Amino acid sequence: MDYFIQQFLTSLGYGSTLAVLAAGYTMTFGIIGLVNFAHGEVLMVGAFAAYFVIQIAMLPFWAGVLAAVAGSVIIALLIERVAFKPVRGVGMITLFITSLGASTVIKNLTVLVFNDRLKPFPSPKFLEGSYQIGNIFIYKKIAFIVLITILICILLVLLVKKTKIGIAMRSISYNINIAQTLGINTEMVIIIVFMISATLAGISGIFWGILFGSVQASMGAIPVVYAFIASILGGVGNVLGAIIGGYIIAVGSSLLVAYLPVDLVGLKPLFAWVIFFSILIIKPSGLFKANIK
Amino acid sequence: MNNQPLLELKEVTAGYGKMVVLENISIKISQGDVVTLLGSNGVGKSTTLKTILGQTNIKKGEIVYKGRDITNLKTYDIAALGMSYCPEGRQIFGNLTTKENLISGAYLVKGKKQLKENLEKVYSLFPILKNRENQLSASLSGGEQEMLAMARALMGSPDLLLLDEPSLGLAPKLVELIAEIIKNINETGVSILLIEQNAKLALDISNYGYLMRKGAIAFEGTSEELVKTEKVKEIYFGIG
Amino acid sequence: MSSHKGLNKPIKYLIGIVIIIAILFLVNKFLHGFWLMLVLMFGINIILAISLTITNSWVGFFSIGHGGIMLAGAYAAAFFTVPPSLKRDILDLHLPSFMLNAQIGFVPALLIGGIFGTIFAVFLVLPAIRLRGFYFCTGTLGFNIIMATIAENLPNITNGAMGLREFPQYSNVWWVWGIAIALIYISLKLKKSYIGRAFIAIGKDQDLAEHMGINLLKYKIMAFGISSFFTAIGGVLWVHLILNLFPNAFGLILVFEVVTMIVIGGMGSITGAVIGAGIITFFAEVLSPFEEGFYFLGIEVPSLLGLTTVLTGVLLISVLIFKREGIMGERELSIEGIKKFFRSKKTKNNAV
Repeated sequence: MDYFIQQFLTSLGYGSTLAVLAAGYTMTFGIIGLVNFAHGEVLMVGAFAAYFVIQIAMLPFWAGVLAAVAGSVIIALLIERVAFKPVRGVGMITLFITSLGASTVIKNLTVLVFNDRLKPFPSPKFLEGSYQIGNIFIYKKIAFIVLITILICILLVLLVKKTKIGIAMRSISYNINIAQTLGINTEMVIIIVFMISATLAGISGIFWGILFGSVQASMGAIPVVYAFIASILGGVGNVLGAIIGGYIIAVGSSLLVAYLPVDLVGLKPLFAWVIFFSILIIKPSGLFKANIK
Repeated sequence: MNNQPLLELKEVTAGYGKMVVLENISIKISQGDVVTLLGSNGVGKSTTLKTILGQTNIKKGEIVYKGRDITNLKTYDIAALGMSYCPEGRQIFGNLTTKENLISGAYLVKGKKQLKENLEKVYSLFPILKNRENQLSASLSGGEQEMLAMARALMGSPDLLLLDEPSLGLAPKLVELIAEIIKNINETGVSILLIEQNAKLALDISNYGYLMRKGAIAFEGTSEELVKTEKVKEIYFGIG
Repeated sequence: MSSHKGLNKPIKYLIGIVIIIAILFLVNKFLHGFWLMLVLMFGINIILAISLTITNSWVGFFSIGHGGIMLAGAYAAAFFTVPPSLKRDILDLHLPSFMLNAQIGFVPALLIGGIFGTIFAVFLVLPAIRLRGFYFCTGTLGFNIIMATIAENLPNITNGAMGLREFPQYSNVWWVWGIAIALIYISLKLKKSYIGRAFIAIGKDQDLAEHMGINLLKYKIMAFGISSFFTAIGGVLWVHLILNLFPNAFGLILVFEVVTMIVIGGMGSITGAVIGAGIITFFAEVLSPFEEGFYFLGIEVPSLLGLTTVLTGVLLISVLIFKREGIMGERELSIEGIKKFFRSKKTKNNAV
């Protein structure tokens, strides 16, 4: 039992990373139907920005967080301008291909300039260590990350459900033309969604750095796919659903691996794909209410 | 009080992409008017409304609203000038509750107090919406959805309301009710541009009308003139 | 005079085949090293690009699972062509003894790889075929990851991450280009045939195609079957050229490159697929020394890993923004097309 609880608690760290990333992902997915393959690189650029500020420039941790958010937002807006705006209205598949292209360019450009080796990401001192309850360790890092994620979750749900702009976002995702006739500046709202989504990706990048102690040019490739699956799981456009979806994927695959024989441990990535195919066959609209038609 | 019309379309040619739907349309609406667009299906009535709202490709001509040239403005900027739209087929936001739909209509309204006032105003016009306040709007009946669409359009306190087929698919009793409500709205000072398949209803509540045919204005006149005219009966009920 | 025309066609074909054989013979005899590799990779990429065209461009199902299909085919063939000394004696793989002791020729290897890859692909893709747009797309992406993960985690069968080696060097100009040219011919004929036109009809408007009496499921499976068969063969040709096979052999970079080939060339066009394959192959081969780093006149040019992929990505985005239909659009190369092209150039010059 202790083993189970320990595995569960530890996996909440990666779960939070995916949850926050998926929350942002589902927002852009829900509002304009964009499947953004380059979102993983938004995470990576944020993490790298923090890395440079903290590790290289030796500035305090909070400066790194600001850098991460700034870096992610800037790269996301850049991607939007260069790869998405010119092909808007052409078709979803084309948008997907350009996002694939953007992802490839950014990732490999980073590999080119900085190589794909792991770069150490220092965590703030106050996060080191753990609390011990009986045989179970609650790592401070993970507790911190989970708390922040819960806070973010509450803020996002309030934003989407209670604020005027949240209503604007949801109406745009349902019918963008009618939303415009109500005076909603749809272009601005979409940019805001992009920026929120990028900020969340930057935060997710920081979580990654804290959890794994390192960043790497190709770090965004796998999380972005999991963010997509989590979004589908939670119902496209549903922020809370995506967050829960992220946790399900991380916790589920950790628990699965904990109980598999040692030599099958490498099958961990398959868990998310089993979930993906299952959901699409059983309930394609997602576990919770999807936010679009 | 100036003699300038509230809204004027001057020889507007417009359509979607390369396709031309409207040819040389000229329409005038004065403050306080209820103007109706008549014509059979596909003749360009809805396109005219969408053109006013800036959602089509305007190739020639200009549109002037409250003395301003709005021909090249974006839809949301036009809405901000005091124009609102109640589209054909309700088109409410099915994923929002009744109240949230109304709030979306009040996007440009500043201040909580004003929002509350406007909300109460539309609830007095459409009391049934208050009962359905927190219900998901997709689960409302056809008539309730039509009322919601109209209420939403009124939340911004518009000076000009574009109404597209409000009676479509509604039972006759409901149609009467809607007609009354439209008249009430007009009495509070809102000018209305109305599209209605139901010619009798349209000419009852409006004071001026334009008969469209194949993307152009075939005939125009006051409602009394139109009712009497053979042309209306012929073009409307003839080829269709 | 009509009998005169009737005689020309078979003779044209014969002359064509003789010319092709002659060229292949010369290439095989005189090209070595870098240029030979370039030509062979070009041929394999043509096979991959045309296969992708059938599913992605014609039938409109945007599949990005070709990496996984190639892997399935390559491993299936590998189990039979890797020498028994390695399989049985050194690695002690847990394969049935007829596989362990076998070392077969290329024809059966290609067939086994092709069939196995097809079975795997159709089997896994079939449930996903009901999905729309990017759900299907992501499913095929998952296929790549799933296949690679399985290959890596069954070390007793595939030798896991250490991979397989000591492949016989079967792939040469005759095999690669023989199959490539055959596929070009088959696909051009297919495009004009009823089946091909059914594929394209489904791609343009699925519901309309169904109303016209086209059995959607049957044709989708057919398209996938043909495409996977040749994609898997592409995988078999590849490993018998590179002479090793790892679970991550056909990863996202390769998948991405083939997608770029058909986008640049023009989605729907076989000629376009060939042109796109040529451009990307050329880029990749020319830039590969830069990726690894080399010495030029005594100065070390640093390793620019990822350069090819960056440029490929930039190329892809540029095409999508500036000339979305690609080089050929949906058209094929034809004599009239070439004549028209030169005629319009002439009138432009005359007008000046």
